Amino acid sequence: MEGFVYSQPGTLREAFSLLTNKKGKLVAGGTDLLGEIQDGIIAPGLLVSLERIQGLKTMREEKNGLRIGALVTLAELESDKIVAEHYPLLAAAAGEVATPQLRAQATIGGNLCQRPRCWYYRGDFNCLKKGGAVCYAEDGENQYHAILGGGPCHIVHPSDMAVALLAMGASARVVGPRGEKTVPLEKFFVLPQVDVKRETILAPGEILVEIRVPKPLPEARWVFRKMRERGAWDFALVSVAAYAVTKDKVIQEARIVLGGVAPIPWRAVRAEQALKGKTLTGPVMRLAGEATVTDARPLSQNEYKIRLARNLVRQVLATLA
Amino acid sequence: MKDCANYSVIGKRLPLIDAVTKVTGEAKFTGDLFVPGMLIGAILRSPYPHARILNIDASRALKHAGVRAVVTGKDTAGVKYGALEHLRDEAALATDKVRYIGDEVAAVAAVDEETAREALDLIDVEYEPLPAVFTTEEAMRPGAPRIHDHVENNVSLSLHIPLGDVEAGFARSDFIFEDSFETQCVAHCPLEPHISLAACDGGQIVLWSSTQGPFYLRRDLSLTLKLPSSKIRVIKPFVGGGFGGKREMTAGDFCAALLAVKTSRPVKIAYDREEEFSATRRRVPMKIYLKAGVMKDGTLVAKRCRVIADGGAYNGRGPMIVASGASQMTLVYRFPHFLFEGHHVYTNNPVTSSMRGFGNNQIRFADDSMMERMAKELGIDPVELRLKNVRRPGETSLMGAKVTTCGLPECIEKVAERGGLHKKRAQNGSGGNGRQALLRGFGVASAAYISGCKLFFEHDSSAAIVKLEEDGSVCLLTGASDIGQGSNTVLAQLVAEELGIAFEDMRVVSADTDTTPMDLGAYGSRTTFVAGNAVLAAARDAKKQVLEVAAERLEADSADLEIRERWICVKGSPQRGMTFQAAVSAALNSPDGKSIMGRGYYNPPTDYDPRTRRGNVSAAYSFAAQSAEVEVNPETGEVRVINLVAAQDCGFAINPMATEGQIEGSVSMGLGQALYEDLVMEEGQTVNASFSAYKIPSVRDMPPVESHLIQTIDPEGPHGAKGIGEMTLVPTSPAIANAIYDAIGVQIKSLPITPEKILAALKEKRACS
Ligand SMILES: Cc1cc2nc3c(=O)[nH]c(=O)nc-3n(C[C@H](O)[C@H](O)[C@H](O)COP(=O)(O)OP(=O)(O)OC[C@H]3O[C@@H](n4cnc5c(N)ncnc54)[C@H](O)[C@@H]3O)c2cc1C
Ligand code: SF4
Repeated sequence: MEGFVYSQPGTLREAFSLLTNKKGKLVAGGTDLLGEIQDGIIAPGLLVSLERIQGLKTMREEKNGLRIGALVTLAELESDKIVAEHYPLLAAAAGEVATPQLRAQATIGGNLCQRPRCWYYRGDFNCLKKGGAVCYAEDGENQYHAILGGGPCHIVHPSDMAVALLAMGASARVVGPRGEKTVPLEKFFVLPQVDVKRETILAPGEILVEIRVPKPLPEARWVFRKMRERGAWDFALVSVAAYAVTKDKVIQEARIVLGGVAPIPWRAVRAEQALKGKTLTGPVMRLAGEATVTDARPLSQNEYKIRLARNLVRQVLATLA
Repeated sequence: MKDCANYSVIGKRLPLIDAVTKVTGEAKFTGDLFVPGMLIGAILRSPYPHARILNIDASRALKHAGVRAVVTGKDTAGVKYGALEHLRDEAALATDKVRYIGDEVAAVAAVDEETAREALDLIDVEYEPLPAVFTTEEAMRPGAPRIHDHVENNVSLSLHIPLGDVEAGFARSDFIFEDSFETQCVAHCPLEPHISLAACDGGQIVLWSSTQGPFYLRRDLSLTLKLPSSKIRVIKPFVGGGFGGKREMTAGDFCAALLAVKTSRPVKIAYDREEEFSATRRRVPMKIYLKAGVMKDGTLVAKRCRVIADGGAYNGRGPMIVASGASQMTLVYRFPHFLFEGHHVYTNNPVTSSMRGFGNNQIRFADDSMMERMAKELGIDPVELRLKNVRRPGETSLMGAKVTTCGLPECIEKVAERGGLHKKRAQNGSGGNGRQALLRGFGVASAAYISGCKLFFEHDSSAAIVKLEEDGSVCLLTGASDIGQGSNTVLAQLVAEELGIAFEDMRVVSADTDTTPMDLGAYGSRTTFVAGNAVLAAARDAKKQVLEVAAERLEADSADLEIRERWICVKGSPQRGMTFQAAVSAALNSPDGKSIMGRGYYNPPTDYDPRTRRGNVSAAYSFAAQSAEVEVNPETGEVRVINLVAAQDCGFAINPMATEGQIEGSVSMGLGQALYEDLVMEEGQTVNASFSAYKIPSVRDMPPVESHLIQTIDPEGPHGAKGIGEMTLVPTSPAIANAIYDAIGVQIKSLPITPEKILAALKEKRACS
């Protein structure tokens, strides 16, 4: 492991300068970043901590929704009263991430910006994502890889929080040396066909400072279900967050988002369309399950994820019904 | 059964003798040791699965500031080491070729770890890559690249053991069952990685190592360093788990010693977790082809078992692991005709070798899976089928194991009964709570295990010294290796019981080749049984001596004396006595200044013939059964083990709490091997070499474990005790697999049983129906 300088700027402006002029690397809780350094994937000479920058650790509810500072930890999200009461989907997802120790240290910003878990990326393989020429997963051990939206890189996005936040219709406030913008979270993540080397729109020097979550409608229902091989400390094989607003049992609006299936948190638009204006009967749920995976293109070893995604969507909808 | 109520120290649930030292962090593991002037070493490993080494140039590394020495194969005598002479094929540092990714090529000693690791990149090795093979099929194909020049077709050992007349047996059978099974490669995952620290001291090399057997290690070091064993002292500090992975000498042990000699400075080498996962020993994966003939009523008639084992690049203990499959097959259930065929095959994968269970797990998975299918298809209750064929006490197995005590029938009955109760409760409790339909299943499996063996040496000996101290305390010197399993505790309990003193009076000094008597190490489930008998012999010797002293003072015959609660007295008249301490002190302060020391050793009476591989390999056999109940989600393939009942015939539990600890630990290990763990390989490279990608069970996955100790009081064991450490793991994965089969109605014949396999099996089942 290479050594590095650790800096704690007090303002965003200072941080921008360290990030762009000195090629520093942003660090929040460090749970992912230090792993990357230890595994020799990156070797930044300078770490720029967000620790001392004001306002990033706060979470507050306003009349139209919740504002979560980028440094709020997953443990806080999991145990916060307001979140539990009005945004339980977030608390549920946070509770399923990694382990209690990691959740105490991991931040929401870091969770959304974490790097992929593809074992070639994390191992000694110089693959496409690391600037190499090939994707080793394509012909290799790809049982945990993407069935949707893949190519030329086939990672699955590892974040559970992204899946839940997307289902809640959240957006991200990003600040950079040239100003700030707020983008719907869906637009925050990018597919490898757009840029194989990164998973978000963030350009070097840009910082995710806040997540905004609109207040759910009173008649909204939600479910989060994460399926994984072991009961804790495991990324999703497939996860589903569903958010639905119904009126007289008829679905007015539905957002179905999947994790573990695509290089970004995957919004199952076709499934949502199949649900709109319907009541949740057996056939409708089955159709929605099928619609989720119509576009799926499995790799050599991950066809089972198609069945898993389809069944999980159906199961999740059954709990909403 | 013997009356155990009279014991005051054994049979008691005592916390480990070193528990406080460990939980306060005071215990020093090899990694905690620091010797002034110490250098840090690191090992250069092959990036190729198979290549010839054309040249190694270390000059750039040697010029790097802070580097003190580099050693390569050229600096070694190139001696091959290993357990059995005719199977030795591995040098501590590669000399001519590398045979797997991770094979050791050179080592560096430098002022700190960063410098040492940097220097590795500066060693220029010129390789000529050779074609490599990664599966046993590829390796055995005619014309396949030879991994070792002296071995044709890469088959390093082939066994053919015919017993009875298997074909006649099949012909006579009403039904024939035939199937193939596959077990995966898993890692030991000790919390403490392999660490070695060597220093030259007074003309000796002193090596502190995270080993399971310092005497064994000294032997391999003496062989490879070409030094008399008196020039080497191996000390085992606290060890953070081994599970079989710390049985053999590592390149780290060897290179630390060599570098210490070369630099005249102490050198420490610690493997990191990635090395631990990708370059150290791992379990032997097997393909097992099994055919069984059975009568209508479930009586087994004949079995044929063919094993193809992926040994990786070197033998390690692999060939013996394959051979032990034949013993396991014939020990648990009875049948008259058997043919065993085993092949240990070289591939360019990392080396597979000893791991808790030593080949028995693989065989038991296949055999107890087949028993389950037999039961289902013959319409016989699976428990009944097992009981019908189960091993009984006093029998000799086809391979020649003379079974004295055997509680397997009781174990099976116990888990069936207790597991059955759980099952009922669960059925009554579930239903109507609106959850989706989860499939429930119940499965059982059995196991048998040796208590030590003579597979590796002419003897299987252990020796001990018991020193009685003036203050009435007792110090036990034993060569046995406590690697966290609790052997120091159990051995101390045995001595305290024998001497009639309190457990708190005991101290144990163990596993140091210079200060303790010899013991072969922690393997083969031998420590409680073999070292236990040795310390008992030493304690009896000491007791005899102290009673003689007391007899003189008390003017009694020593044969009439007994010791209870530190009080020596004439049996039946407790007032005629003296304290244990007074007797020891009196001996020392007498004119001849007698210091009481008891000595003893034990070598189990066995008659194994290495040529036929038959005979009584162990002086006692332990038995176990487990039942598992699972819940399977047919939509997602998720499995939850909801309860596990384990019953073990351990002879006698010297420390029931430690025994249950072994059971619980092995259930978590067996659960991992049944459902999650698998070293995923890509052309010889381990791709999931980390704890986040290689999945051992988490606390949320552990089922409640109900343990039952069936005490059969073995006549040869110390107070009746038999080995327990490995056997408890053997039935876990087949019990879980059988429960899944029961739940989903399809048998999955390869481990681990992942959601993916379950979904595929269910899909196939639906397509067929
Ligand atoms: C063993 C293990 C298991 C895990 N299991 C799960 C799981 O089941 N589900 C799951 O969702 N996650 C899981 N994770 C990932 C974990 O949630 C993330 O590591 C964590 O959320 C990252 O937060 P952090 O604050 O530590 O980020 P850091 O490690 O500090 O940063 C992570 C990355 O994000 C960048 N970054 C951080 N903050 C910002 C910001 N505000 N703006 C721009 N870039 C930023 C950093 O530069 C870095 O590249 C697991 C991680 C580990 C180590
Ligand atoms: S999936 Fe992406 S990260 Fe993994 S090997 Fe392919 S390119 Fe690399």
